[in-house]
Amino acid sequence: MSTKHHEYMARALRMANLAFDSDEVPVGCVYVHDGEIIAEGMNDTNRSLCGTRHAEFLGIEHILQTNPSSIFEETDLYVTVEPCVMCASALRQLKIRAVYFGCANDRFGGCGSVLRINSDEGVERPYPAYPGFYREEAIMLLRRFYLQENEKAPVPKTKKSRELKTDFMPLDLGRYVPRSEIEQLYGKDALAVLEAQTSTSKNDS
Amino acid sequence: MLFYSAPPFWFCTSVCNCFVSKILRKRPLRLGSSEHRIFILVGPFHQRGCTLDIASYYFTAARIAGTSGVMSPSVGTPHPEESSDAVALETYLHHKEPHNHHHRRRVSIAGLKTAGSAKAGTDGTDGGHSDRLFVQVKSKHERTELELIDVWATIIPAKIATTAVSQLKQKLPKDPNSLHHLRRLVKDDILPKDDSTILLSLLVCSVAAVPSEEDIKALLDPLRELVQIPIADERLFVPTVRRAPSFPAPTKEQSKQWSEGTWPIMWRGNPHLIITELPDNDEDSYKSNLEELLDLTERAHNDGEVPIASIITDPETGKVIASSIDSRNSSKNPLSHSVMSCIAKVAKLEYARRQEQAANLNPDQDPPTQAYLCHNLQVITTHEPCAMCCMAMVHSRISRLVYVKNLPRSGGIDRNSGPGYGIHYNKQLNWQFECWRWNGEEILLYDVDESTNA
Repeated sequence: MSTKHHEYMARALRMANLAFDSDEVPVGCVYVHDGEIIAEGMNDTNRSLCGTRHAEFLGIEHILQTNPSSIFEETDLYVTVEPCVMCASALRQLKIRAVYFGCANDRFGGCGSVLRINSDEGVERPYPAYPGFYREEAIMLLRRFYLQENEKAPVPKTKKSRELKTDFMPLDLGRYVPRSEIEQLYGKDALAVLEAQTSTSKNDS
Repeated sequence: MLFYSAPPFWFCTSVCNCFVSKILRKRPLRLGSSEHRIFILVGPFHQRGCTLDIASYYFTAARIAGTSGVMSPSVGTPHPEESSDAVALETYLHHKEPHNHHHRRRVSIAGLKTAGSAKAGTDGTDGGHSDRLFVQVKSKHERTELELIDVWATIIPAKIATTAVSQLKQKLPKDPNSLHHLRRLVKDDILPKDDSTILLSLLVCSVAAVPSEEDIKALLDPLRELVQIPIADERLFVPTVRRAPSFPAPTKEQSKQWSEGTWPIMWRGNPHLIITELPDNDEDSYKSNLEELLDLTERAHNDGEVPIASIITDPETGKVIASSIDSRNSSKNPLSHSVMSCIAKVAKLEYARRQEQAANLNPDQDPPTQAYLCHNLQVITTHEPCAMCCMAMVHSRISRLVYVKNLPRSGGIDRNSGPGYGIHYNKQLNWQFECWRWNGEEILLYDVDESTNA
């Protein structure tokens, strides 16, 4: 299924590729307002030596140069990897309308993987975060990047981590998206898959 | 009803210095001082929303505080030509604008003592019982149900236990699971009790650390050489998978329960229940950092910024590396928080240093190897940081955070703030840092709206 979300995510992936080519952790994003891309961003932590220069922040700063921060209330973010806790909180403080992301970030994702900064009780309004748009592409970029990092390391790690894996764990949609919204965004099949998953895990326990 | 009669007007009150903090919470415009009194110009009645309620609040607060009759509120009209608050104050009170209130604050911080047990239990936060100036902030103890992990174990003769353990420790990879809460050697039921040679079960490592049985065998086989008199027991040095609790139990009773039928836990007390202390030296240096922070918030307040400030220090040299005020108002960027700006400043300094180094092409200088720029640096700040800033500190590998005041709606540290994230202590994230909060007498902080993200 290809949607307008995929179109925007393809642009975000382009930014991620650019990050990859610049020796940055390959994460890219675009901000969309009224159907138009108003900013792009890619990771910039290695070049700037600043651990907080994530793709999201570069885009935010670009937007704020010419717009009031209220523009975010009508803006959606497409980012190849789930925003980390820091970015998830930043986006909430800006009152972003919605976030679409590629793959989950198990290590420090803030939109459902480690914390649920986007939907927890908080000062600003919550925002929805939808995973799975060009997820495999986003994962493969990250894998290729870390593989290359590992080869560059003075003491390369074990043989196992030197192989490029190409298999994917299934995405647990139910962890990120309310059941009521799944069908509209991901289609009937996705809902059926999720229901099959939940019934098996219920049987298991 | 005097207050309503002549708008616009100002009202002032003078109270004993030690009660200023109570009154300051309501945003005074200016502070003036003379001898042992501080004059507070509260503001134009209609502009700052100073309603009668707030006016009475000041006077009541001051009256309660000033039991010895030090308070004398006054009401008046400022000179119509005067635009600046300071001049109006001067005109009205016939006092000069003070130049020494920073100094006054320094004295007051240095002299501040612990709030002690007076606060205990009232705010429901950690360390109310501590008599120290700073208390450690721990997050809520989320994991209280027994969770099990697979571990490799084997059987060895008791005689070689010490040597075997030390030999293994050298060869084992870093374990992704902390096993410090588990007993290393156990004399348990599966072992024959009648045998003259005492055998022990040895915990090798978690299965996650060394997944392959072959690798474990390779680690264990060399231990056979330690045995001088052969023992006929085929279970010796053969790896088996056992189940063990993945983290220490919160209480001693649970510790006993959890150990039944699994690999036993060593009860060492629960560090979450112990209030640890900062050494005096640290408390002293943070006190002087706080003085600097107060000067910064004063500046922020005067510049129309949100009065929150942070500094980053290097504990090894004791030097302040970066300092910043919140600048979300002037930058029009709601994310220009003081912690974020400090971290960016540290990066800029290092960036400039490397540029210069590259330009000089001096091969003798230290090579730039530090991967994470704030590694082991400390953040001292006025207010409990928001989730964004907390995670920025995780990304930057900050080792310790010290702050003055909780922000119960937006903070990302205290278990009672917001949803109780306790980001500094979240084991799922790839870095944890220590956190301490001011526990002394109330410090003069400018009022920050409770829904502000610091």
